[in-house]
Amino acid sequence: MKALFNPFRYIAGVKALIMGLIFIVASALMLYSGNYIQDSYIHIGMADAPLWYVFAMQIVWWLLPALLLYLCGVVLSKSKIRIIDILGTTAFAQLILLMMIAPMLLPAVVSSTLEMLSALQSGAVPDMASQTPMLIYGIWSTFCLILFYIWNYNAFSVSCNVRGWKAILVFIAIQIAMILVGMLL
Amino acid sequence: MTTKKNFPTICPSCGGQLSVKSLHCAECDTTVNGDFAIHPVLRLSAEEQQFVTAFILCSGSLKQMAADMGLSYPTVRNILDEIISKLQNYESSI
Repeated sequence: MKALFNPFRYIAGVKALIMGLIFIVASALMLYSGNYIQDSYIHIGMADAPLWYVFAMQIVWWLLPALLLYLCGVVLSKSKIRIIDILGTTAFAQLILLMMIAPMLLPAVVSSTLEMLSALQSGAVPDMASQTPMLIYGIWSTFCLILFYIWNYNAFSVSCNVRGWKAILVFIAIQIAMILVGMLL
Repeated sequence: MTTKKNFPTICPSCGGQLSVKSLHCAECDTTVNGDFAIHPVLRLSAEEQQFVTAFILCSGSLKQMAADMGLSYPTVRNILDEIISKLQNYESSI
């Protein structure tokens, strides 16, 4: 159970970074195959973008908060922290995004989404029975989103040896900043 | 076979720090009385003392310790930092 919420007690550094980069590449390939793109920190949108651009966006939305967390860790922590740990743990946390993206490619979820979009565009009320896959996906993605924040906080906490209200406030501030940057871009 | 008891450092009655009043030689039955201070390392918990022992035995290599304990490097470093902080507090309180 501990590992589910805080895998960074057991994995960090280069090993986590290599695995994280594999998750990022896999996510980019999945997004590209479904004509999706991570257009902001925690938002997936539809776009007909080239693979390199989809991959670059994945890297940007991982690296930007990771570097901010590292800088805050340098200021807050009394320990000698390593950048490889924060990069590795936050990259490993991208597994949650992969878990969010993978079901988006399921035919049932795709058809359910397209059906709802066309119903909304024509002003009709979407048939609720056909929306079941999307509803299940909604619950799954909410669970993943909560886990994504828990993992990223624990990545910050373990890598930088910071705890308590100061660490939580800094983490929340960075998450809000990332969402605002995503909205501005 | 007698079981070895853990060395108590905290008073079970009031929670204060204990000190050694008496030492006994099992060979010649001599008892030395006095007021002996407990070394800061002995004030650590049994798990923390085990950690310090393991740290010395692997020549201070946190990477080796992380591999042996099945934990990540920063987790092991954080445990060490916590012990350092405790020892510094004990030292400053003497």
